[in-house]
Amino acid sequence: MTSPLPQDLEELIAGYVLGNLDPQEVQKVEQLLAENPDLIAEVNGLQETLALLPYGLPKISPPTHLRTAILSSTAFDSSPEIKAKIKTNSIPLGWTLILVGIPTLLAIFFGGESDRLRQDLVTAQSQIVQQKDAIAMLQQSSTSLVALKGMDMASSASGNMVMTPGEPQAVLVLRNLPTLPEGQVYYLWAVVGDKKLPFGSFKAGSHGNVVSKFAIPNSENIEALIITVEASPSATEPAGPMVMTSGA
Amino acid sequence: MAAKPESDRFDNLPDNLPSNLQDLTDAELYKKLKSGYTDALGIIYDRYSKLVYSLALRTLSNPQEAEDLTQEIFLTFWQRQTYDPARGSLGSFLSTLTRSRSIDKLRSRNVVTKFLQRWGQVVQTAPQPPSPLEAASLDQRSQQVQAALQQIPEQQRKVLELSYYEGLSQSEIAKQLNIPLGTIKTRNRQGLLKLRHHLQDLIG
Repeated sequence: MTSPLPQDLEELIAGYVLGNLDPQEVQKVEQLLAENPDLIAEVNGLQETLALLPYGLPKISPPTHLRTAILSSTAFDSSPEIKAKIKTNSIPLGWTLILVGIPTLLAIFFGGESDRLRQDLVTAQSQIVQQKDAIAMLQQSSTSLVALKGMDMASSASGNMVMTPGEPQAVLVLRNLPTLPEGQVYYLWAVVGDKKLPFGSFKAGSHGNVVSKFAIPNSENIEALIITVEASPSATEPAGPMVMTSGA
Repeated sequence: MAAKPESDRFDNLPDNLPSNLQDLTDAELYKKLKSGYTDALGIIYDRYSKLVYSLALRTLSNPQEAEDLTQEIFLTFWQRQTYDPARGSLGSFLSTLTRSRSIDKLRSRNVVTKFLQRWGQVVQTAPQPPSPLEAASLDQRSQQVQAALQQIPEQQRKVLELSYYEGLSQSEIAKQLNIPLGTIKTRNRQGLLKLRHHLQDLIG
């Protein structure tokens, strides 16, 4: 589409798409968009252009095992139509066979069993993947552990946050954490000054064990970690009691 | 195959399964995926995994992280199903998602650095070259974008790429290149406008 727009307006919209306008300019563009919906096509065209940029990169194939790993992950959350299809899926090799393939084969073997069995398998598979993450992180010499200690209702709980330089995710490994009533979740927070940034929510498994992976919040000055009990799995700030702390 | 246009066949897709998923457009495959036919994800992966992985690798400069992110992108795409074929191409949706997550991960590296105050040497493995079959799928679009990029002045292309791939702000780019902020903004905007002009055939 050749734009009939004046050059200054064209550049303003380009700046809007690139996110390099000042607040007054953003307001001006949004007002123009509201008044003239035709301009939205201009914005969409520029966004689409920006999204084409990676096609200019030299193309590199991901490792071949990745395809198998991704498709194996989908085999556990599918419709009845798909459960029948699992039998025709290729069988994963190597570690993937051990970590993912065995539950797949079990799922095929018990194909007619209840949803509960399937759910158990999903849970088991998820735990294996999480434990694999934790083991992989622990095997790196640069991995650090941040110890967490329980308090109050979780006074016997203990564990660590496993973090590896360069890895944007960290694994939380805890034990002896009480199981919470329905409707409540544990929540992990990063303490930054007087703020608490959310990592995310988790639940304690049977026997009070936890192995959960979290993306590390985008902050440069994390001082400590705390765990609270919250009523919402999408809390934005802690409202419930603190039950564990790194004490740092 | 990847260049197969989205078509109005999306709204008239027959309910019966096609004998060959490879023949479906992206929108048709996505509809199949939403209806629970996960084999469609394999075809979508075959079409776009190189685009996603190459972008993740360019941004993160780490094969293991690029691999993890590629997995995350396709599983997120499958689980959340937030793509709307009416709003844009699947390739653009996936590249936008990949770029956004890559930049998030780049920024979170700073967090880890400060938190642990030391870095380990990240083990790099050589990326695998694409097979001839895989190389055929995205070639058409890649050639057009590469040709379009060649027609943009080098200075504008550089600013556009620093902003896109490395997530640098305009003022960070100005500082890095020792060029006034206003000049950087202008180069970035004009680079994008020229790129769109040269890619009209792809964008429509």
